[in-house]
Amino acid sequence: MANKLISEIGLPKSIANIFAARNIVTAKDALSLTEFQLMELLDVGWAEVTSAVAHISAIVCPPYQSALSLMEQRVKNEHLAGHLPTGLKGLDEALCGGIPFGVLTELVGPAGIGKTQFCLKLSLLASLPSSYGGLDGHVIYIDVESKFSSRRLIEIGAKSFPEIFLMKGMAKKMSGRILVWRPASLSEFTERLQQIKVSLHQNEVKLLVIDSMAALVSGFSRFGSIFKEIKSTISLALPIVFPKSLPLPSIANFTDWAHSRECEQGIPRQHPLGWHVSFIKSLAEFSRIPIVVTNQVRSQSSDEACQFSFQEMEGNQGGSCKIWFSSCCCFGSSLGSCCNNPSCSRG
Amino acid sequence: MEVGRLPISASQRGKLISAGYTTLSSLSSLSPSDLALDLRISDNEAAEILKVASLGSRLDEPEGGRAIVNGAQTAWDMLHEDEMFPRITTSCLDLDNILGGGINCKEVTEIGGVPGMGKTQLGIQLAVNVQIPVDYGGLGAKAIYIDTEGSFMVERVLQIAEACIEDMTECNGLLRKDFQAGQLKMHPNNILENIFYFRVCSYTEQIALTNYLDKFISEHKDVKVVIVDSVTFHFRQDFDDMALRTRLLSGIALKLMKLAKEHGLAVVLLNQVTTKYIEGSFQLTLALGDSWSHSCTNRVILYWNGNERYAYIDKSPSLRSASAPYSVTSKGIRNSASTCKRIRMM
Repeated sequence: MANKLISEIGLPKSIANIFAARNIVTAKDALSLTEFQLMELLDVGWAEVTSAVAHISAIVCPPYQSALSLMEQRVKNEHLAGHLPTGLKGLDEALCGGIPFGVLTELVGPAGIGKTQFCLKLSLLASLPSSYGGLDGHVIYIDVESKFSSRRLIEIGAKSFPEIFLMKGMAKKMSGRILVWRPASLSEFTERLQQIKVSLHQNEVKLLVIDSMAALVSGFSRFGSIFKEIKSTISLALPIVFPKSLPLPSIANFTDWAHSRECEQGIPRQHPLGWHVSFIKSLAEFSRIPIVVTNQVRSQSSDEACQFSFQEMEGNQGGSCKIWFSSCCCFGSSLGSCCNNPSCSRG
Repeated sequence: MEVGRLPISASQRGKLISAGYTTLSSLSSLSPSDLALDLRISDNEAAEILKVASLGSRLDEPEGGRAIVNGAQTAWDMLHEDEMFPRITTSCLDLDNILGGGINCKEVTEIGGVPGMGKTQLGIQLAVNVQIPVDYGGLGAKAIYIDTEGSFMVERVLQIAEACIEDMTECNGLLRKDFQAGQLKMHPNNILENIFYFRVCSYTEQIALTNYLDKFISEHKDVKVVIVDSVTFHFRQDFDDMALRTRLLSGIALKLMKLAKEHGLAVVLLNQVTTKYIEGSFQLTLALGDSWSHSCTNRVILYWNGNERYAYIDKSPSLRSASAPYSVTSKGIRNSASTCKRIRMM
């Protein structure tokens, strides 16, 4: 809506021509200037400028709905008023039915807690027919860390829903609905995201899983690519030879080392995934599907910011606040809803 | 130059100055046709300029008869007016106390905090509480909820609305008031019906909506609170031109303040938090920079103190700086109880 052309808005001819003459083509251009700037630029009076701006604003402005009609619409048109039930009774109750549609849900936890397993189960649930509580649709699984295991997926399916999975051809059909993609770089991921937007509608995709977001940042750094190489080599069970000159740490804490090297370069002004998260959010809203992303937990060093200026004056009343931050901590505010794994443990 | 202050277009101003009219008094005794001849413009245009000039000069007159300055009020009148406008309760007694009774109408209040503090919850609670009928001490008005992040959950609004009605019915029972109206006839759906929801997807839409609100509120006169959740979101990503950002934000702030004043409603802006390097260390501060800090009348910061949620009045012309604990429960925002703590990641 922001890029609506001024010529299509229906302003009176005279003022529309003046806008065009001054190269103000879209509504965004016009609204990015204050009324005084417009007066100077277009050389028209105050009344004319305000009425033109009011007209443009009224057209570009998003429509409104009452909260009631919003609710009724969702109850009528969507599965369980817009929720994907996870099968965990307590969680479904807390989430008012299940993973919500149209927003980004983040699964956070330390390594080994079961984030990928959760994603596998959700993918399965989304592909099930509606008679079994599923969404009867396709799933796009973006597997950044190469953790997807189709064998495990079939095992989960066979154990949880034996009636369907042991039927002839059903296992193939269900797992056939899950598309797994492994991006090789951040730019590839960016490109593919935009393609996904187009294909969402056509392919009846009902769930998008990104496992994991943290790896997109650290995994695609210049050290991370080396790590990915090593990891894929390990999976091929080939011996790895480290040249003596390369001071690589042990594999176990490679990601931490890579991450700490990044931090040494200074805190970046804007998060590298800022655009991506916004895009994924808009994707979720526009297509009204649930999108699940996983994130990692890192500990925070105590000299980093965790207080407001007035708190220091009051004195540390509650003791030092140790906050567990994920690597994408600044996304917390931009993610639609945050899902904390209830059985999280300090790893 | 006095003529420079008039809200006329640049070319008209240029013509006036080159024709020798620099002060408003030089225009006061002219007829439109004379001016038109002098400046070589149409009669209508000249009449417009003279009208604007006469308005301008009236403001400058030292003794104007009834009022010294057009449109001003005495402080005494303002005090009485303040008493007429009830405040919007937040359903948490401690929080209401530090706010002087609740969120004030006719003012812009900014509420900021780290993610997970309960800003959206507070926004939803206010959207519900503004609808509390006048008999129960509320405003009996409607709400506008502007969502820029997509964090508005309808199920949650329903939960909070049901809890609010429950509280009111309880209050009804306790006080045993014999209102002619009888039982409380509100249903949660009525509450949902009175919340106007706008979903804004870019900063252009946000500016357009702020411009459009004036017209909308003139058509829906019973709206008494506008909640923007959050005002920061579209201005934080992908904004390279910081000067433009500051201009746009101050434009929005001014329009919202005008809206609040003219229509007597409360504007609540929810803000996010960022880190800033002050005095040798990194500290948390509300986003959008220093110039934005001046745009709001009141500022409330939500923060964690140990395991409890606290609200702190950071800036206000009439309230003192104070902290108050609050909690987010299944019923919405309520008083802090010792059991309502942050879930430990243990």
